[in-house]
Amino acid sequence: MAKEQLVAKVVVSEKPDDDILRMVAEFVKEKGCYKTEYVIDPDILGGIVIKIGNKVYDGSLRSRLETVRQVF
Amino acid sequence: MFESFTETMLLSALTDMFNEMGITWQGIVLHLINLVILTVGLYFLLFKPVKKMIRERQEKVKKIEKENAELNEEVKELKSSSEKVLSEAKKEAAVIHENAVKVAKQKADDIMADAKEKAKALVDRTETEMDEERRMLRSDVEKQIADVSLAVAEKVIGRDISKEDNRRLIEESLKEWSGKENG
Repeated sequence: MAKEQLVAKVVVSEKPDDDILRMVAEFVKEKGCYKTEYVIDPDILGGIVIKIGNKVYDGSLRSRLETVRQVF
Repeated sequence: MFESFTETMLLSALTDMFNEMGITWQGIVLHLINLVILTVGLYFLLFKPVKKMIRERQEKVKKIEKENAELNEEVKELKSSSEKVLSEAKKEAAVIHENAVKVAKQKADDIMADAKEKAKALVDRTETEMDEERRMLRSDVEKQIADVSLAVAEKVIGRDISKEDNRRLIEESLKEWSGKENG
């Protein structure tokens, strides 16, 4: 699949403001992705999850809590 | 003369008395001869065989006494020997008894030691199992506490997280990912 056809799927817990949108756009551009699709999912509690192709960047609060749970 | 007369008178009286009793000097001599013959006959026919028989019996008695003495000696020796054997048997029995007691005591000690060892092993195993059970229970409780705490934390965070906190989390994540990729 060509890089131009890659779609970055961004999951956030609430509607992002302009600064967040700008920073996310810059990040996905660095990864060679030019299209972004936002999903609002309160279940991630907070933070952000970005999926680009097979790669997943998980910075959600839920994943952090899961990490803590696994430590216990 | 008077004495001679008296003696004559006495002799005459005795002679008269003997005559009246029918005793004469011939008769006395014949009786004496009979007595001597009887004595000699008795000596050879009765006294000598009886003496011989008595001597033989005495010898026999002496022989029997000697045999008795020998038998007594033999009995004494046998008694002494049997007493010695009995004493040795008693000593041997005492030794056997003592050894049996020792062996029995040793066996009892061994059984006790074995039982103690088994009991200790059982106690150790039980303690180990209890420790493991306790550890698992504690771990389970800790996990449940952690789950509950995290569930509570999720609820609290989901409800109370501010826009600023959320923004900061997103910024940190993006910086971290950019830094890693570039670094």
